[in-house]
Amino acid sequence: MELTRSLQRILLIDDDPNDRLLAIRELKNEFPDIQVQEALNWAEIFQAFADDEFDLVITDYELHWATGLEVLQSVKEHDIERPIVMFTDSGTQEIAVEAMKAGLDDYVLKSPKHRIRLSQAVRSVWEKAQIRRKALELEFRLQFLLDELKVGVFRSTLDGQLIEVSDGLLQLLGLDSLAQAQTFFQSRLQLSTLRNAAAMQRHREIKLNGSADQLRWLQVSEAPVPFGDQSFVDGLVSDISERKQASEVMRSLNQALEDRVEDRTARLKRLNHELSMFAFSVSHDLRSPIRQINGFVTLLEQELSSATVNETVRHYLQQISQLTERSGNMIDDLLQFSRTGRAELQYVSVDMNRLVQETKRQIELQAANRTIRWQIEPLPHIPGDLNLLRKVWQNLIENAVKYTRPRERAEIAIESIAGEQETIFSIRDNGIGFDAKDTKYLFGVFQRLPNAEPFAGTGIGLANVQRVIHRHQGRLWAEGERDAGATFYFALPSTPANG
Amino acid sequence: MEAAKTNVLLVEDDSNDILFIQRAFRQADIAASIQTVQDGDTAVDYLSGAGEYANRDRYPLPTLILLDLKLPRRSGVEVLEWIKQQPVIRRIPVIILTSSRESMDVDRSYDLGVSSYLVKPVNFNSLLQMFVALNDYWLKLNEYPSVPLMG
Repeated sequence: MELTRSLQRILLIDDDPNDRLLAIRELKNEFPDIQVQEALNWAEIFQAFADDEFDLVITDYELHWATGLEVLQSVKEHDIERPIVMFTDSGTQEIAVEAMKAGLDDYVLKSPKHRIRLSQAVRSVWEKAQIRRKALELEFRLQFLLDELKVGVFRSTLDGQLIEVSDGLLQLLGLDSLAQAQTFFQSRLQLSTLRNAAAMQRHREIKLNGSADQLRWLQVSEAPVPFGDQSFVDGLVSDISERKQASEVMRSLNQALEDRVEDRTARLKRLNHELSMFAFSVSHDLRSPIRQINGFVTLLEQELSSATVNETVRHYLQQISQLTERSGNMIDDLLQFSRTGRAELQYVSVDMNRLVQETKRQIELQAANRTIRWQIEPLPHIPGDLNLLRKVWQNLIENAVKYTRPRERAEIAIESIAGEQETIFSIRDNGIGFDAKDTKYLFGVFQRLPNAEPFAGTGIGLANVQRVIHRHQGRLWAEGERDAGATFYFALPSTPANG
Repeated sequence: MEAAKTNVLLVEDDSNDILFIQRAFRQADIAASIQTVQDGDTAVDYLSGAGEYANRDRYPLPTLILLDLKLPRRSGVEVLEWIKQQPVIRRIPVIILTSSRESMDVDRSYDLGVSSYLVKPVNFNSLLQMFVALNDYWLKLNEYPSVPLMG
């Protein structure tokens, strides 16, 4: 927006043609592009008012049909802000004073000594008028904004005495007068009486616990304003209840959300704890009977030592003893695993060939009456935790042996594919398999598929496998078809995972 | 103390384990006699001489207590706690003999002043060896505090 507009059109009221020429010449010197509309009588003046195409009026005082004062009055009636300059040779000091009181902006004599001042007077009057108009506009705009924004404005002395308050402020606070506002400010807004400008808080949020059923929040913004040799405080008060309510709603929503997350987390933690306690107590409770079976086998061996028994009996007893011991050790390992489930993995270079062969031998002992065709490809070394990876092979090979039991000739193939980032191991069998749609249940804790029912098992084996593989930052998956065998894959990173 | 007649109080609820321990005791040639109680409350009754246990000829105060942790009624830890609060009985060495090797149980037992903590081994021969060693150390080598007969 343009701050000032240049002067373009002047209404010149004078009935002396020579004086008009004189004035026009003076003006053209200063304003070469000025348009001058001349009015010689009331009719022409009113026509000019009607057209309203002039920025400023220059009038003579002594006209044949009126005085300059009358013209001045009519111009002010037309537009009180329209600037007007009197250009005359007949006025007196008294007239000048009276005219100025009536709103005349300047007064220039027509005498050769003075008339050269006309252009300057017009210019300065015009500029003042422009500034005045601008100020009016700003004030109007400010008023409009204050009304629309529902912001209360006040000005006070530094010691908290209100000097003025806006209507908006009174409306906002539901008050009628400055005195009421003063009381309100002192009792509710906690304006201190001795405030130094530096310590003044620019923005404060104040909670009003009114008698009304709802809380109100006001924001008070204050700034010290130096004004001559004293200072004031200019301030704004706005009602921020809605914003506060919205943020309160937001806060409580967030809180509710956090509470829910916390609840869920606590529940998950509890379930996890219960589960691990369950796994722990099951394995713990299993340890005693196994230990005791072993004890009785030993006592039985002692009792039989005097009697003559054949080697087969001794061999069986030895097998029982070994198996119970191995079971005991496995349970101990499981307990250890549950205890150190969070402990760091002990990375070594694991010889997968050896691990698979060892595991296979152990498991074959339990399946001596079975016909199993093993096809084991050479396997690489891989970084990993030896004991945990042993459990992986134990579980997977045991499963392969177990679920091929209905087959006259079981076929179990173990191989690996080395990639850049990882090595994929697989174990394929021709056992009972599983429905492809059940794949997602395979690795759940204590999950057992319907066709696995005739086979012994707790359903924790594959869950453990998954836990170990995941702890190695590896991947585990399976493919299967009902009655057409299963293939389990796991991929282990070629470099030890962090954590 | 009277003529080195030692006896051991076994606090153990599992009858199979009682049998194994008694066998191991015999096979380890342990001279001490062994008394058995099968829950925590009875252990406290025995040690405090309550009821029939007032008869110290039949139920002498033990030289050594073998205490399982998992017991019906009062737990092993509670029995241990009670023992260590008694004026004289607390001098009797207590050895925990349990299947738990949970560090929480181990630490708690030592905090309460247990003399030794043993885990029941998986096979009987190891149990036997354990009792041979126990006999050599705790019953033959160890010097015992004075515990008046009537407690």
